[in-house]
Amino acid sequence: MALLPETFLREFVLPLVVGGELHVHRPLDAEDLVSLEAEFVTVTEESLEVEQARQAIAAELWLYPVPTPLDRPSLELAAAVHNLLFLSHPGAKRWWVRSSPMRRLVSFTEACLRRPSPPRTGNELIARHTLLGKALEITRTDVEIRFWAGRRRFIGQEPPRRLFRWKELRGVRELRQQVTWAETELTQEQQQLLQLLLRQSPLTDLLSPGRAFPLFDWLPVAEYLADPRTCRLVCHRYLETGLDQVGPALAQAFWRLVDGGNNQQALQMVSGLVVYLYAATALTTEKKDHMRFDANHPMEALPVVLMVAARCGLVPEPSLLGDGRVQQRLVDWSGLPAASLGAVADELTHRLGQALAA
Amino acid sequence: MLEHVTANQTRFVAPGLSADSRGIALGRYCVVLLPSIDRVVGLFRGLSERGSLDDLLASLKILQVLTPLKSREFIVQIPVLSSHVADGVAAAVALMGGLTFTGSAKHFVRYRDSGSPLGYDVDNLHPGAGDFILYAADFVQAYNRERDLPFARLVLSLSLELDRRSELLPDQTTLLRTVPGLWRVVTAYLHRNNLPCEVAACDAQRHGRSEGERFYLIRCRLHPRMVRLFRTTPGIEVHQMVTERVAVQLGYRHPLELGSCGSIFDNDRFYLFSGQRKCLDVVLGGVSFFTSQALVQLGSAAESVTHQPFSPGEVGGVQVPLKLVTASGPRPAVRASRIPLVHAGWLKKLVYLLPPQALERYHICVAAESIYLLSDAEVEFVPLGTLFYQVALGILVPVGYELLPRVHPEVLVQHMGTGQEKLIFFSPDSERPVELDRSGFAPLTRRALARVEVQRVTPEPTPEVESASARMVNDPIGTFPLWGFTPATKTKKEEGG
Repeated sequence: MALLPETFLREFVLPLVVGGELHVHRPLDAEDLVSLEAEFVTVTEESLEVEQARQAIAAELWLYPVPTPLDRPSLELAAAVHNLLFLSHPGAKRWWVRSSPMRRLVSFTEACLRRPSPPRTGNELIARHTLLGKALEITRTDVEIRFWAGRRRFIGQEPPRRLFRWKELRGVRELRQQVTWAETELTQEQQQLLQLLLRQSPLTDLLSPGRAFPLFDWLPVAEYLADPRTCRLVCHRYLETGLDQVGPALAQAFWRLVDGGNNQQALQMVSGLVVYLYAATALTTEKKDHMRFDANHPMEALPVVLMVAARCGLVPEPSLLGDGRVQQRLVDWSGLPAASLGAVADELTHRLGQALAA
Repeated sequence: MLEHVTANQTRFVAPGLSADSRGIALGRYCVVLLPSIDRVVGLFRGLSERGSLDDLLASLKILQVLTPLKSREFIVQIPVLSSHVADGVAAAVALMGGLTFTGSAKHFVRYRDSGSPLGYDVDNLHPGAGDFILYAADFVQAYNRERDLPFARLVLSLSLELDRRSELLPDQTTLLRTVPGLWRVVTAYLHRNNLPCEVAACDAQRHGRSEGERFYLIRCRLHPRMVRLFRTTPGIEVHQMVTERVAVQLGYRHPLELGSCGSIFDNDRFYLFSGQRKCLDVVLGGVSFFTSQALVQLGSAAESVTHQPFSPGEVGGVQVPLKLVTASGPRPAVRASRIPLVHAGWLKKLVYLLPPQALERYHICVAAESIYLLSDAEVEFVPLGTLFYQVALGILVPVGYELLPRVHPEVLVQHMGTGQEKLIFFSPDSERPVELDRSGFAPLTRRALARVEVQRVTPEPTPEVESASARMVNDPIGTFPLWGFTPATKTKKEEGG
């Protein structure tokens, strides 16, 4: 086995859950999975620590008890993340590493990501997110050592101490750069695997709309918004982050969904979410700062989505919004973007109308 | 035949049945079928003990009925307003071996029982003639009325029962029924004993006699010794008042609770139930009492009494000291224990083992040399120290000993001055008993617990989940990291091959 089961849990799974140094070693294979599963049939100190960390994260997200067992699907997903990170390991890119075992590794990792069924309930959503929530935030420190005769680059590794000898004489310079792993140059296989990984944790997908890669897409996650508790959690997080931060990514994803066609149900879900976001904002403030947007880029503005949703009749009945002032504010806000957009507003409304009617 | 009434059933075949607020099938009356008159009396006895019969008497009927085969039975028709009343009647009837039915006019179905909690209905009505048609589980029977038995007549015709436990309450007014030749003597006796009394002359009405029998009633509050005297004196009967107009001879009791059926007694009559003579004296027009002072003959002038002042002297010559001597016989209930302080460690260990009920019962007093353990009940859980039992209130003597002379416990209490506030422990080891105040005893549960050293901890904010991001570190993986990589588990066959 690449790593002992308890070492894998302590040095990889636990940092993946709570943060810290995430040690990537040799890739895990089917035999390793069997060993892992056999090891954690009984509770060990490491598995308990992981369980407690996942419970703590779940408690911050969800008011209800969430089971977070270290079961076969969890171990498969953890192993898949490890192998996915291994593909960025400098040791995996040496010329003598043959392509056939690499293909086997990719296909095994893909199988690990496809085998667990996607979460269905809110509890399962939270449980997956406690395990994979930080996968997109994994960072890496790359070090470049420059000296008089050349340069050496160390990806996620500490350079050997010998390179720092005679520092002055050799003109040694050390450049450290922290990068987000998901934003580095990933291979095509890695990109596909990363997208598969997000399918296994839709909440992670929903809560990171502003990521660089993979682009946020409403289609695979819109169905989860049908659960009011999940929808409420997502809205709360978006409002915490700020609509100005998440708004552009959400709006762009919305228009991609509109252009995708045949997504009426998803469109209604997402429009409902946007209306809910602004209704929740209207509960606490009557300022219109958050309605500002760049008229040159209307498809990156969430207020425009609110406007077209209102024009297409996707805003719920005013009586459902409760307070009369909230109703009035929402009506006022949904009419604001039209003044600065002019004919573009009609065109966008027409596009949404067509998508809903298709 | 009978059918079980179901929940929310509103329509019934039997006429006059309806569901009450609890859904129980109930008519206007409960009809009780009893085989004999003594069962009828027993029924009313049970009902009168549970509550007042006055509410029922207005519509109550007792009927002797005939079956088509001319056998006689008794039916008691009791008006009921709710199933709660009917339940009480049914419970009393069950004790008397009768059957309870309910209905409103002629058809009466069986009242509810454990087999059918909501009662019964019938599938069809019995076509036969009769004043009462009773539907039970195993029969349907028509009954014809033979005669009515008025309840008042039933009550007044019942003989008294002997009641040896009957005693007068303190300060209870007593009636003395005396024959004409004795009333003056009795009145003078009471007057001499400084007991105020009132006297009335009465003429009793009896069945079959036109003229009344004269007797005298003396109303007073008797001393217990006089009660015994008068009860054994021929010609004098001691009666106790049951109600304002009814008195029952002391030592007897009426089969029914007469206080619960006061409405059957007329306001202008006085009723005197005599158990000794087995008759009822009814005095018409009420009873007029006169105070005895005007009636007592004090006789000739008394000689002047010379008062000789006398004060009781000291009785030192006959004072007997209390002695603690060994005793044999059954072991009395242990109420206290005296445990030497050196055995306090044992007691501590025992406290851990005591059941909670026992712990709550004990009171403890720690003295200079001993620990005194007192219990409301028996001290059987603590087999430590010297065990004491209580000979009188607050006087405790070691088990196996007794106090001599064997005086009455009350005398001991008065002599020692003990009571609710003081305890005296006699001991064979010392001549002088130990006196302790009851206030010095505290519940063992309060004394047993040692002071708990607590560590004050200031609450800290709930640790938040670290939001540190995961930092990837590429470990050394060797030259051939994919060497031996197996994407699928090997089966045993593959391994063997």
